[in-house]
Amino acid sequence: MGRPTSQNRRGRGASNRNKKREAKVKAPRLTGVELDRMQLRRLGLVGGILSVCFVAVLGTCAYLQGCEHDAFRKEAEKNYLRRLRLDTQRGELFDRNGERLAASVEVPTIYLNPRTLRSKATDLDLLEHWLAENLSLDPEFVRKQLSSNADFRYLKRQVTHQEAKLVHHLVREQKLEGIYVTSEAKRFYPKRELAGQVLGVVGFDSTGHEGLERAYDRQLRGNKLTARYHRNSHGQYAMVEALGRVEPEEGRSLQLTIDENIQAVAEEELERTVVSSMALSGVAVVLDVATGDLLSVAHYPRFNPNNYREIIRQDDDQEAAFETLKRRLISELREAPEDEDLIQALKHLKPSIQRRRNRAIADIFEPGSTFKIFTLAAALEERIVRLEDEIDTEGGRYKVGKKWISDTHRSNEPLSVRDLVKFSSNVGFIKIGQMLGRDRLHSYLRNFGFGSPSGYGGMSDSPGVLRPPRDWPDITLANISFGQGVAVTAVQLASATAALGNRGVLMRPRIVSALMDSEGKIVERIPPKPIRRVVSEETAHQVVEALSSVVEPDGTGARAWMYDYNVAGKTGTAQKPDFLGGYAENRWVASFVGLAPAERPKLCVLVAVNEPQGLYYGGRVAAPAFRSITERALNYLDVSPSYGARQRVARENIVAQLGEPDPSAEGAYYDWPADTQPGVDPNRPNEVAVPDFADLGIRGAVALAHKQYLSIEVDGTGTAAGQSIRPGTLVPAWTTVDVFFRPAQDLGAPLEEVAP
Amino acid sequence: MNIAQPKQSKRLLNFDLIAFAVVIAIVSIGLLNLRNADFYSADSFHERQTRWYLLGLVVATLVAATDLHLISRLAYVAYAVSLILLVAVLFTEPINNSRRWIFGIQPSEFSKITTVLALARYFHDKRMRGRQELVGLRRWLQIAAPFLIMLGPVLLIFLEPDLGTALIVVLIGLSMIFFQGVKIRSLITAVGIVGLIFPLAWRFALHDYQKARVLVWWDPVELAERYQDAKDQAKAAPSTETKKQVRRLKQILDKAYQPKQAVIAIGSGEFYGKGGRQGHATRQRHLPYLHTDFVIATWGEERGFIGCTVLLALYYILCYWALRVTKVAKDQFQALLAVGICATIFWQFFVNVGMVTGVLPVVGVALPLLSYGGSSVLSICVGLGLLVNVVRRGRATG
Repeated sequence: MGRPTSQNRRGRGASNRNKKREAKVKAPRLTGVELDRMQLRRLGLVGGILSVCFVAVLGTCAYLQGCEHDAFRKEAEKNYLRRLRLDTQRGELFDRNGERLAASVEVPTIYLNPRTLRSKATDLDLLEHWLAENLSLDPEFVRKQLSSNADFRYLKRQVTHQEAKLVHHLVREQKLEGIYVTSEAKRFYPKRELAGQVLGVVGFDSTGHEGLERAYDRQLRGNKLTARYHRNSHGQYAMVEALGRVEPEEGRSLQLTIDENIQAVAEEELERTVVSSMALSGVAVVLDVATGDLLSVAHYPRFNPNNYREIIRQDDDQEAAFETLKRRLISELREAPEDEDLIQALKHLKPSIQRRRNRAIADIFEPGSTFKIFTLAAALEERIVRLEDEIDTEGGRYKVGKKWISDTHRSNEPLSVRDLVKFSSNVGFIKIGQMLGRDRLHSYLRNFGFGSPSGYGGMSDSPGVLRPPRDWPDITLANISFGQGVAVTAVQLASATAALGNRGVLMRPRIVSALMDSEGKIVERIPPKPIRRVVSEETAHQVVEALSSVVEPDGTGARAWMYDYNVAGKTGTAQKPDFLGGYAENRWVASFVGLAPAERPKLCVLVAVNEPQGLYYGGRVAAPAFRSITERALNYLDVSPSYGARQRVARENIVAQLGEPDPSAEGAYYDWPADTQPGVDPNRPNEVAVPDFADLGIRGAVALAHKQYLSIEVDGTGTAAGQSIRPGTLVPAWTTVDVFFRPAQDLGAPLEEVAP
Repeated sequence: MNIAQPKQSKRLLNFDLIAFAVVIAIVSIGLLNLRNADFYSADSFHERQTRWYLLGLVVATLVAATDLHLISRLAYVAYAVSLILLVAVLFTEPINNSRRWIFGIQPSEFSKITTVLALARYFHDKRMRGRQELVGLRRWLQIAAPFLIMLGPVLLIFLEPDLGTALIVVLIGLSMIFFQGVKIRSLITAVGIVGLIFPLAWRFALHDYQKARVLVWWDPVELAERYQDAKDQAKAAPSTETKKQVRRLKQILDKAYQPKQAVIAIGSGEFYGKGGRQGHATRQRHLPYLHTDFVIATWGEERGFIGCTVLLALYYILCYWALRVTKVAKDQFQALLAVGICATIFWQFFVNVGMVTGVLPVVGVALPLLSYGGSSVLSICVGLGLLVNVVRRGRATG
């Protein structure tokens, strides 16, 4: 330390001047004391340390920002960047004509901040009570939500506007905080039940749970709409725009192959059939043969996705009750195997139906006789038989192994293959199956698409049951030949049949034809897809020809006969298993699958009715429904009527009554006599006079009615015997007149019940 | 460091202007930076900070205009007042577990300056008295006196508790003592004493959170492993003891959050920075205290290495200027004043940057002029005013 020394003074020239100045300035206590040498040295040292420290800091920065920056950038992004899926508007569903089948609408939702609410509400008990009362909620649930410690709780989602209004008022009146109304997207199905099972349902948070809503959930939600978000330390998301890297992809809308009108027709006819036959349920599928488009997938009972929660709850309750009862009965029966009451109870136990299921692809059933189509196709393709070949049906009883198999239609004469189909002879088809052998039959069935999912899409597309041929004992081969021991879905069966109508080429069943953006512009087409050629064109043609005989007046499917179109089809009546591992005597699946018009198939229609009561034959239950659906669909699609054999019969009948048609008449298949053509009253131009339909044939009556701007409801067959509105009455145009027909003598005997 | 020779005193004038420009630059950067930090947290600190800067300018001017003799005479008084305030502050209600505020100011910030004043005065007086050969207790007292002057505020600040500011005062005091020419041997002895005190302080005086910060800084990896072990152990044998251990380690590890976020923010700025208001790490409030102690993290993230270099250079020039002022000082008091203020600015800068970059443990130290805070800004302005005063006087006399 030491005093300032002379050396120091010498080192600093300014000191002398300083001294002089200090003499002048009166500052005795602050007399100049220079820095000594040690202080100077230390000053240098301090400067050095300082510089070193600065360099060190700079080095640290360089290390952090220059060398390690990649790691830090990643670390930083991990902190603040989040991939977040934004649910924008969910895509919509349209039918093939652009009718909206499913739309998203904004509905109110009520949520809470329980902590805020508790701190602001004066009377919590009253509030709980009020909420439970007005939102029809369980008071326990309300209490639970209100006492939660979270910052966010839904109170009730997707409420009505009425409920939202109530809450709104409450909040305003009471000056509450912590209870809020927001809006969220809810799925709305404007057509209600129409194709409900096909469309499916959407749960909260825009998640598809059933049907196409689930199968195409990814596309409908817009899968690629994942944004990179900033997240702050409170877990809130913010600041999307600053990154500028968000590429939102909106949800796609689906264009379905479903035709709203055909769907409605199919559902209506199916309902009529299921209800009148007191069946459990039914499925109808309408396929466009050339493309594999599903024009309709109809179910009964119907399902309205708009209130799916209620329906699903009911069904689940029913299912649970059924299962419990079934198990109880079975276990009781095990203890008392002879108890007749128990056996009867089990026999008549009514299974529950899951209404939401798309049973056309998810549920499997034994096809029964409809399956003979494919045995026949295989045999014809392999040239094992020809349609004209005769096969001995052994009088309708045939023994395979130890088991007797019998026909309902018994014949002691050998039948042609065509007649085997017509009368649905089990024995005959067993023989054909035996000629084919397991491997060949199996491979054809595989090629027709059995045993693998139809390609409809989605998770519930069932493959059905088709065991590999090495597991087939003789009896199985025999059974499969006529449709037992296999299980198919309705769509599988329809599309396999459609392959025959499509000249032997199996098409993949298509339900979605295009993905569209929100403006309806098509983004991606899903073209029809041929899967494979199953049989040759010639074989397909022959099978369709053979199937045409089924609807002849003495065939099993006579009730599928149509006036306007030739039909090729096949009935099926299959026993269902009971709950004890055997076949039930009173449970059937009645089905009819067919192609129309037969000479150039346009549609393939399948109707399957589950557990009809009373008359359970496919020809009796399903064929009329097939007829109605097909006829109406073909009319709707403007398919030209056939010029086939049965039309000739009708035509002859008409000609016999009305005389030869005038070939020059425009657009008319035949003409009508001038004197039966009542004029329109010039004074009442919008009204027309009802003509007299008496003794007209059906075609004649229909033509006359249309000529006269009237609708006609045809009832019965033969010639007109009565009408609902007296002739000459003036009615508004396009009023429906019911016309009753009685069979004409020369059309042959009335239809008899024919076994499948 | 090249210390200017008297002949270069003409150039000193220019350098004073440069220093002034540097201060203006730092203040501008501070405002810009606070504005962006405000943007991230939707606050308005920069507006209040502007008022503090303006007030600081007034205060600095007043201080620069005041007669240095008067200041010298009032040095001990100021020191005493600051001690009284530091005692008074201990009786206030704690904010964030710490008692730092009284009458809207932080006495600890001003005590840095008053300590500098007191030490400068003490050393000046001692030099004026000349060398005295003292024996016994009085000799020891003479050696210990500067340390005692320093330790008074240090202890009181430590009790607030405010470890960071206490540390800064220690560093300022030691720097002045070092400059004054204490023998290296004495300094080593002093450091040795601190070394002895440290385990004691660790055991008795330091708060858990302070220890946690040090531990996390010392070895975060080892700590994480210990935490994992403790968790496994607690799972295997759940008892209150093991659970307590887990909780303790978790708390310590949580202390790593803040410095880690700061390092991430600075590091992710890379070379050129992300640009104004693009600092996503600081933006999303992953970084606490981004207006005060960690304000440089925002700067580092937005402006990158370039920006950091510029800022470092500015502070370096400022410190360099302060040291040069020492050379024009007219007497011991003024010289020591300059050294002390230089130390004040430098050590705060160094500890703050070290803390933000993870080199030093987290102790709450503000970045001079850049961090938001009235007391901090005003105390630095008082310091700068004193330096200008010294220069002014120095120039007037030489």
